[in-house]
Amino acid sequence: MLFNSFIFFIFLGVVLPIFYLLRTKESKNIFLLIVSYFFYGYWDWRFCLLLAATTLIDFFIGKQLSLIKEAKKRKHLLIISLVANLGTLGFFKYFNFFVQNFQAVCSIFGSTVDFLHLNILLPVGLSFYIFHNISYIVDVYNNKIKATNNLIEFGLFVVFFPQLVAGPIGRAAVLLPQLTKKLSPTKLQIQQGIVLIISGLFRKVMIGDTSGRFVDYIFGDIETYKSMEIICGLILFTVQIYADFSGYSLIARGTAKLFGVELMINFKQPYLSRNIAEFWSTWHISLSTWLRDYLYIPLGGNRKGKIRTYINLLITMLLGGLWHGASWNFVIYGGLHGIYLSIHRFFVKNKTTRSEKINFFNGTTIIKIVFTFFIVAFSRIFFRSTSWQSTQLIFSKIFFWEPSEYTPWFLLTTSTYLVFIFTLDIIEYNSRSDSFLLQIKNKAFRNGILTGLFMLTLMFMFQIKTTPFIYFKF
Amino acid sequence: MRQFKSFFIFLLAFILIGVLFEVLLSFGGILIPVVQIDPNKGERYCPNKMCCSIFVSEGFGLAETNAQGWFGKEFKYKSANDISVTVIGNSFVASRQVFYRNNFLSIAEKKTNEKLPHGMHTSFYNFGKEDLPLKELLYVKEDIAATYHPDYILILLNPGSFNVESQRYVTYYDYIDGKFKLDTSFKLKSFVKNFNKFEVLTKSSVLFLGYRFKNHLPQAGEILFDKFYYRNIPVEDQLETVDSLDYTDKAIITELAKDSHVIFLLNLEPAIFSKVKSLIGNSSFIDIYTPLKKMQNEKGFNPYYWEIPNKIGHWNIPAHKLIGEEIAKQMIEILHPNKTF
Repeated sequence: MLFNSFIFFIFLGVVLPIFYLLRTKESKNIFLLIVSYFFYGYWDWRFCLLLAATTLIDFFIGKQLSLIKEAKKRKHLLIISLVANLGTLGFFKYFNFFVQNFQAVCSIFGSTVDFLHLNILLPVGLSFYIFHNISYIVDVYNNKIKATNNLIEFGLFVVFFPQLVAGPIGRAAVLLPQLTKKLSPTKLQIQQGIVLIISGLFRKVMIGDTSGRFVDYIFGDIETYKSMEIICGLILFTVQIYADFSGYSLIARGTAKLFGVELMINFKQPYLSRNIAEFWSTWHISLSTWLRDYLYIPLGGNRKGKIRTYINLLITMLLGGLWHGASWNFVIYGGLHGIYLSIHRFFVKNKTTRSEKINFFNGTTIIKIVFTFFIVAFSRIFFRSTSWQSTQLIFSKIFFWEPSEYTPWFLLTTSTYLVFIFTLDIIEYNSRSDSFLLQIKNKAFRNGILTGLFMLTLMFMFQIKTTPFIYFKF
Repeated sequence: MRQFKSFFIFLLAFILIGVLFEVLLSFGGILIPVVQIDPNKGERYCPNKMCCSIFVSEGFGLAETNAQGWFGKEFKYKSANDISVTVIGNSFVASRQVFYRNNFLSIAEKKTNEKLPHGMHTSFYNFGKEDLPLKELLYVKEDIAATYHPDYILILLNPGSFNVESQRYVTYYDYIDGKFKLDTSFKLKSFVKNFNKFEVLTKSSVLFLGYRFKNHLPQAGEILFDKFYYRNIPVEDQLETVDSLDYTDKAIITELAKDSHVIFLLNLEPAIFSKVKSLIGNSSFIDIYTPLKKMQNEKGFNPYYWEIPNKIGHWNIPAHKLIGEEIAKQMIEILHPNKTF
């Protein structure tokens, strides 16, 4: 069930009134747990079994961690949980990838290994909820949070449907305390929820899906297209992935608000970043902070000298890249960002962060924003191309220039998308919110905008095939 | 007064969003209306317009219309060494699913010119239009394409050409009592009068969005429950087939065959092919059904399959390439019999 499908709105239309009618905390949580499993099982009911199994394992390990004081035993429990979680992720997501690479290495040395190849179905959102669980267990192990004794609450923390399949990757410290209280959304939360859902839907359907259609055709048949067309396709993909994922995150946050739950903000206008470090502090924040807290800092972070800092950055970004999918392209994508960050750290002493105000009338600032956007767009080649062969083809198409008779059209279309996405971000940056509509004081004006956005987006949705969110496959 | 003010502000915001959608849909190439109603000819593509077809067709197509409202270059009265070939047919000729450089006409022109001796040159002109039944095709051939006096007229006949009662607003020839009679009754229809009255509005992408939304309404149930695009229909059931010709279609084919400039481009299954063949007599023809079928059987490649929308439709890019090369091969034999392809 996709957030941008009509069936999801029918689902919400049934679930919300029942939820509001329920009186007790327990009944609300149990109901939400059931509907979350229904939401997830709508893809494939078998996925629910895996989800339930990992939930149970981590619930009981968490409980044991809170009871046992002996350091060695606690460490063993942590290892069991990590092996169970990472083992599940490794098996479903990376088994065939590692087998193929093992075979390739063996063939270099002249031996043929006819190894097992399994037809494994990757459960939707596996990487997201495994990271949920790991963060919970590690936080309990480090005594940052107390383990919960309530299976329903823990189950709901893992499976809460607005964030289940593509985040934001929730932290137990933020989410669990909300679930221990009775969920009763305020009027303001409901208003904000509706605004976020409509804004997210517009971003996803009208900007993400439409630009994505061009991208799909271009990257689906690179051979057919000319150099400028491919470059525009790449920029459109950079727009698409942002509109798609930020749109999803807005809908997820908006839907959670309708149930009285606050999820973390996942994007803070990342394409307005003036350097790559600022970009990573504003892009997919729930993943980048997760990697920082559970990988980079445990590796030593920047506390063990300069060289180790660069190595830690590279390892974190390589694994962050691999998290996206079992492909060398993702490893290169992550590695490239690791290199970007290391270079930035090496050369730039005065690190500009998002807390420093962006001056859009300053030429140097604009150059920095454009430069950061283009190096991010360049890295997307590895993110979007389907294989190493197609990556090579893209490079050869770009470097051996073929003129296109449609260059003006492609430039106009790409510019239109860029203007839309940058204007939205600039407005939202200035309104200090992830949806500027929340800041409009005039009710009639806001309602007019919302009605227009909702109606026209729905009319467009009515005519196109529902497109899954890009991050669902991770 | 206060309520009126609120309503006015609401409306203003609503219109503002409409304008933003208009900009996004049209400059973003998402939905652009490309059809207008010519007072004499009926439905035509808007002249001198870049048409992007991405949400209205199976593929990603880009092509520019000429001043006469046809895709591709405009017909110029021929020079001494220029051999003009007009190609008339339905949406398969218009080829809105591919970039113009990838459609079979462009490929045929390029391949033919590569093989012709120095000084000889061919130009292919596209007279393709969606939903062009034979009745309208005859009108396009006689009253539009023939006025340029082309050297050759390629006429595509495929299952979509036959037994079609056009519901659209077009001029066409009807066959009554053994005679062809021009029918321009579309001019009297109220839709046409209103269309021309509000011509400026008909160019709006937002209104086009609304128009398409209205057309999808009968399928609302399937769309709401996500079943609309996921029906698993066997390929054969999705392709148009035809096994007989009606009285008017037979008469039109016979009429077309009388013109010595006409070369039929036939994409017809064997049963209907033999019926058409008996009507066209000794006229030249190019069979494109056989090479397409061969490609499908030998390479397992469906020429009608589009991967991204996952559906069957018009010819895809490899099919266009194959057809273009096949036409070029045949045209070389016609134009320069000593040259092998």
